Amino acid sequence: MPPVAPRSGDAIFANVERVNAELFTLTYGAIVRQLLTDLEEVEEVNKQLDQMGYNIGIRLIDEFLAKSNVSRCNDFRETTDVIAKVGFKMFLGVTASVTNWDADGTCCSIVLEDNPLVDFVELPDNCQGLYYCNILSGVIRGALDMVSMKTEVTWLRDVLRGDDVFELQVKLLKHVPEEYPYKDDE
Amino acid sequence: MFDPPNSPKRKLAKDKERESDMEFKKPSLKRKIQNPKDKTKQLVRCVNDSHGVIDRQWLDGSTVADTTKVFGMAAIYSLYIINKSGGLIYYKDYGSAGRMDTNDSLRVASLWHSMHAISQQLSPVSGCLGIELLQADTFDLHCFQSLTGTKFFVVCEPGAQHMENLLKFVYELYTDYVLKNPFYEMEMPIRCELFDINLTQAVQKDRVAFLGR
Repeated sequence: MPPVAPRSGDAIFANVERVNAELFTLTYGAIVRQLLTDLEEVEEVNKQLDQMGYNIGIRLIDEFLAKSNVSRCNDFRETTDVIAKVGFKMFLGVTASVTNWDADGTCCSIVLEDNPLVDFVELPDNCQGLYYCNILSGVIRGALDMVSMKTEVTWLRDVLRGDDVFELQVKLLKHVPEEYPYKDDE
Repeated sequence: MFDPPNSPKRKLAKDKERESDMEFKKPSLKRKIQNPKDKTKQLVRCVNDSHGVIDRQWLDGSTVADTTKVFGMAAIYSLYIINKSGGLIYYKDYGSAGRMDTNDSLRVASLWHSMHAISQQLSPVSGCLGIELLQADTFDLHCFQSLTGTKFFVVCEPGAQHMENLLKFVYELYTDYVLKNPFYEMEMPIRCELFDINLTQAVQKDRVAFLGR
């Protein structure tokens, strides 16, 4: 059977069921507010958002693979390209771009110009350490974990903190291929 | 919709069954020879009970019980889903041909997981991702492995078509009804009713599509 061609982010986005963007923004805002009330510490909230994102990412990756028909990526460059062009488009409806590759090809930045999570949001003074969209970094980390890549995802620029765009740094730590435990007697 | 057992119509059908049974011993062969415009040979209804026995009633009242398959359409014997560590998380059989008790199904799943992994090492070609098709005398086994390591495989009759599409569709159902269920724990056995319902519909749709002809 000939391999099915991967679908573009736009095509998939047009076909999936969508929810009202404001409902999405409001729900996310409510989650962050509640976490702040419950946990009080901004660092704790950042960690929780990352953990929640991780739990989403490990499940989201299968849906992404099923709906987009992407084949195995040959290197990390392709991976981040696919995340930015197809992944973000499919799930958030926005296209991101990939820049700032380092010499090894293991570290890059994903730049988001527009982000539906932060519509209508302004960070107050007492929450300046908060990474409001930290769920996204968890999602990427979780998703890549399930396809055997250990990564570290951090925010470099954040519009809510005064920058002009959102910039996520994605760093590949190592590949952990699934290995059949041949030597489990030792 | 179904005639009660003692209705006159059904009794008549039973009498006719004896003679028409002989005629329909090899349903697939007879089907080709039949004149498609012969209205008396039109299929009136087809009752498929949960054990895969198909009871067909024709317009002229004759019936035939066929335990194997629908005309021209491949029958699926069973469907398995294995998690990335090789544990069976879902097993469904369609008909008595594929039926296995729990222990056997667990054994088959682990066996397949190991064979799949070993085949990657055995392959003379590098970059082998595992067994996709196993063909035997009495069955075919089609396997699809997602990039996350979850394997979906179906045991079906030899020469079954479009099983890869079915497996991809099952993968989509898995991502929708299993993974999006917040109470489903990853890698654990699947106990999601919506998944079962949609899966049955998907498989039935494939079988029913050919009954109308």
